Amino acid sequence: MEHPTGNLIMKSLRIKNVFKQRRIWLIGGLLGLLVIFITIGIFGYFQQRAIFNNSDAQYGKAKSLMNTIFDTKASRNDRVAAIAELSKAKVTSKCDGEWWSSWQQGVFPAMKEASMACEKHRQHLIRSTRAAGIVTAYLRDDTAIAGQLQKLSSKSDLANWQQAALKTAEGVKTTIIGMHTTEDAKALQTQATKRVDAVVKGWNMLNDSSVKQDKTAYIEAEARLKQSYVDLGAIADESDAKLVKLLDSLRLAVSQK
Amino acid sequence: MRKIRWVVSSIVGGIALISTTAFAADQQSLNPADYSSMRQTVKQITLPDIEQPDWLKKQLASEAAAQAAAKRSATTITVTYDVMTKGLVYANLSEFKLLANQTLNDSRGWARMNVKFVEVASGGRFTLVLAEASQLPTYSSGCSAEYSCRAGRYVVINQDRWLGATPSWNSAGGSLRDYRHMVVNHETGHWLGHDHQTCGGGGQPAPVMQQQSIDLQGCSFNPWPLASELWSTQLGI
Repeated sequence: MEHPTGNLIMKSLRIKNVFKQRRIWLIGGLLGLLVIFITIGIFGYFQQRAIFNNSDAQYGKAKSLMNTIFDTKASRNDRVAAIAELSKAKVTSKCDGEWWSSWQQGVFPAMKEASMACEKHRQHLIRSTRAAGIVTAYLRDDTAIAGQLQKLSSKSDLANWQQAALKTAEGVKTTIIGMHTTEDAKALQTQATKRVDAVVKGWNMLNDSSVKQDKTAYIEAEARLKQSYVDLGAIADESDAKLVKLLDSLRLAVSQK
Repeated sequence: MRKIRWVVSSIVGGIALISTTAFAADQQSLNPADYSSMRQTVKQITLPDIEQPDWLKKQLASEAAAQAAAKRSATTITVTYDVMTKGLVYANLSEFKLLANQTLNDSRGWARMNVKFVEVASGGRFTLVLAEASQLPTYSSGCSAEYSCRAGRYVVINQDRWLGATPSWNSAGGSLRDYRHMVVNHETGHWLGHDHQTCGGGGQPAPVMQQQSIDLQGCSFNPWPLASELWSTQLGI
């Protein structure tokens, strides 16, 4: 038979032990949480710094390209290459950091400022790369059309080179019509098609009148053909007008920081 | 007070100038040629030289000659000539004289240059000679007994050719009358200042200055000068 007082003491001692053990666990748990929090905080800090540094590097490189694009001393190739490179420039996806680290921006003003600067650069880069992409796409179509037009002045060594010239002009027209251009280059494509068609018609008239030995028609065809070659200048006018607009948009995007 | 005002206005002016310059640099006009080769490419496209086809050249020459003839029509040039024979000539001289004069003044011949050929007894601008074949080489080393020729002011018709044309002419079916027109026109053409011509293309009428007696070169007989042959350095036409 147990003594009732002794039992009570034993019981209270057991309860005490339990409380003691729980406190230890609680303190241990809290300390653990603190360690995790600090680790995450440090990791988050470095992660955000990496984002900002990466953004700065991207922005620095893009700025250099922007300068080249509008540098009056740069060559055409350098400018065009700079536009193309800018259009492909990497842009940081976000400047906030992850949810578990972004709180730091609310705590540390320096971090907040760095994040704001990063976001400003990011937006600037997005606008600039988009505008550069549009110009690059246009220049690609412009160059392709110019490459086709070049074929019009070549004189064949063949005896029937005038027939060959007609075939070449027809080929150029067909190729230009079949080009998949951007929306911005549609007007240029239409203008080029129209002007090359006039050249095709000129050669057709010349060859037909030559076969018929019709002097009046031949002389008229010759004049129309000459005029059609002069009128090719309208393609360059169209190209220049559109390109200036796109370059103005690019300059605006680049200058609005 | 005035100094202060001057300093202030200078500063304000300076700032305005700087901002204007900065704006101008930023807004400098863009040159598309700095980015696109289109203008340069289009500039380089030129129409290759188109050589006029032969038919057109001939048409134009013919029209030019016709125009020249029209200009000349206001004034008729009279060309005198005398006729003589050399060696043993048994062909009918009267017939020769008559046919030669008819040929020279025929509306299809050199007369189209508005030239009138008048036979005179002597002292003509050229002498039309009907010569025995063997006498031809006496006129010039370039003349043979086989064909007719022109040497200086002498337009010499070979009697053998006058009477019988040439074997190649005859075998090609040419008539003697046409041959006589042709030989008179051809040799007189030399006196007018023409050299030999070649056939302009198969089936076309031969130039009268082509050596049709020897080879037609694919051309058809033609005793009369072509429109493109209606000129004369001798007469300044």
